[in-house]
Amino acid sequence: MNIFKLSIKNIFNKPLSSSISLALLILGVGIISLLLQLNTLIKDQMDNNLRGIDMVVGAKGSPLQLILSSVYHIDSPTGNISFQEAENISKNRMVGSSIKILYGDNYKGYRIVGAEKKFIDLYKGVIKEGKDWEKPYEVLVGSKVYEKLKINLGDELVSSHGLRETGQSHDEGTFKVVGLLKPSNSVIDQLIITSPQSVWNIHDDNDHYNEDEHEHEDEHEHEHDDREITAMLIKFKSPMNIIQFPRQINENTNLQAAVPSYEISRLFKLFGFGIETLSYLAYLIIIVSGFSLFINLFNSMRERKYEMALIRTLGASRLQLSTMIIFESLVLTISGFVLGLLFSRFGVMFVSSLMEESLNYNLNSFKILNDEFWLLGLSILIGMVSSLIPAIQVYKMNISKILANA
Amino acid sequence: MLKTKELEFNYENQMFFKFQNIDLKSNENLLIIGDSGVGKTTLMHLLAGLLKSNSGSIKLFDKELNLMSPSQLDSFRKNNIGIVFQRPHFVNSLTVKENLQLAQYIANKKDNNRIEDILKNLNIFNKSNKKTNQLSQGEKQRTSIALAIVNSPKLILADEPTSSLDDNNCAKVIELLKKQATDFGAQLIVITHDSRLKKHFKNTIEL
Repeated sequence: MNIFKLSIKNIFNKPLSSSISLALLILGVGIISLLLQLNTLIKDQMDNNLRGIDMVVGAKGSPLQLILSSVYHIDSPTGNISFQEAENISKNRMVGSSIKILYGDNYKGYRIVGAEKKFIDLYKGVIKEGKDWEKPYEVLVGSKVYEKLKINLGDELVSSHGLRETGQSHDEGTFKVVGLLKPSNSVIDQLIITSPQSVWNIHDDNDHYNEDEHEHEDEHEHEHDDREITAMLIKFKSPMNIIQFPRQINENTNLQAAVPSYEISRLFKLFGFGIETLSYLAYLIIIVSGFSLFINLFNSMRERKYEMALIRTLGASRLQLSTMIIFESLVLTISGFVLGLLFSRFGVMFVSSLMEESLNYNLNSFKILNDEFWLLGLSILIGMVSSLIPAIQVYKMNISKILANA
Repeated sequence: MLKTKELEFNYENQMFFKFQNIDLKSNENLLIIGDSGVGKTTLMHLLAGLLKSNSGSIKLFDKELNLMSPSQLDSFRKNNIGIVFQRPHFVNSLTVKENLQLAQYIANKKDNNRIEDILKNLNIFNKSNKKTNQLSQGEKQRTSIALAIVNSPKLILADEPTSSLDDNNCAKVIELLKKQATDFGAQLIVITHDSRLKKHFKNTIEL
């Protein structure tokens, strides 16, 4: 038996009031830690996919949509742009490197992207099995796609038009799997990648069915190169160009240039407001848990004044009794912190399983964030503060008076 | 062993007590008897070092209590004095055995054999693992005696141990206390208004 064990026994002797304080603390710590985790994970994931892309050029429309569709592959594209125009921009002296990508089809909901081979290098994709594509209609498959759909080397994939599963299928659009990519923890994990030529071929064939409708446009553009792409990812020669170049494109051409880092920080600002509100609420819950802890200790101190007097007459010092009270509070707050962290990890697992379904994203990280150490500090502080007054009262307790009134 | 001289105490609300001198030799028990309001509990708290007198001296085992600091009194108490209260108090979250272990821990001792001996001697060994609020009144009183003697005090102070008991149980409890004191080599001072106890003691002081 010692003072620490006694504190624990006291906590378990009052299961109801102890668990209310504990539950509040778990909720508060859990929500904050969940928000911190999700925020960091999503930011990491977004930044990871942003690496090496300074600017995206695509059709006019919402810049955020352009970024989401061509960098994160989660929204519909704004439209197509002419290959020739993109080519002109890529030859600008400010452009370091550029990658043209184009969409058109999907296979069971996973996007088929026509892209230059640099696209795979951009995300540090490595072929696990098989080889690179050489001819049109040969595809490389991202790790999540082949795991989910159980695709093997040599399989033939019949694509459907559009970016959703429900699109009309191209009977002649059959792709052959020539390579499987290693997991890279980036967007290419959930893509099927092929040469731009494959996508052009399919849609040229397809356009013939609708020739009548497109006749006019076709004639108009046939003098030039009539191929189209969806977007072009650009890296600048110098970071300084990020200020001037996008504006030039937006003002002087009918294309749109968007800067991913800017759009993403705008997006974070948008839902950052919600996160902030929610975290204030969570801090409020933590403070309420501190109050409940205080009331708890204060009441139990009054109920237990005779046993405290007894412990003093047995020879325990004032300090030992005060320590007991502080221990009781700290044991509750620290276990509240630990359980809250556990709660948030389950929350992260749950949310990431939801997100993987709808967004094809994978968020898996269980490291403890720096901010969570602050949360531990906060929990300990709450434990100390809420036990301070009861501890002082116990310290100043007049045992003779209590015993005389018994 | 115990010598008090000109002991005086007054509470803030003007209650004033002046106690007669006590001189108790080693190996003797003492009954202090007096009506309500003559300061029995005050005297007991003075002897236990829970209160400090305004003037006079208390010499217990050749130590002057009035010269000790509060923390010295705490440690003197845990090494020398066991207290049996009028109403038994326990740590309710602990079992009988754990209460005794806590008392030992406070006195920096650890001796489960002694706890076993005491509980057997008091006939409550089978209640060792019961929470104290599950005990009967008699069992509670025995447990509080166990708590008072577990650290082998040289002096047992008992405050009104028999006031709520019938004649039969009164005799039983006081004999039990005397037996425990002799068995474990301690002296016993009983403070009470219960005149039935007079016949059990050779030394009596009337306040």
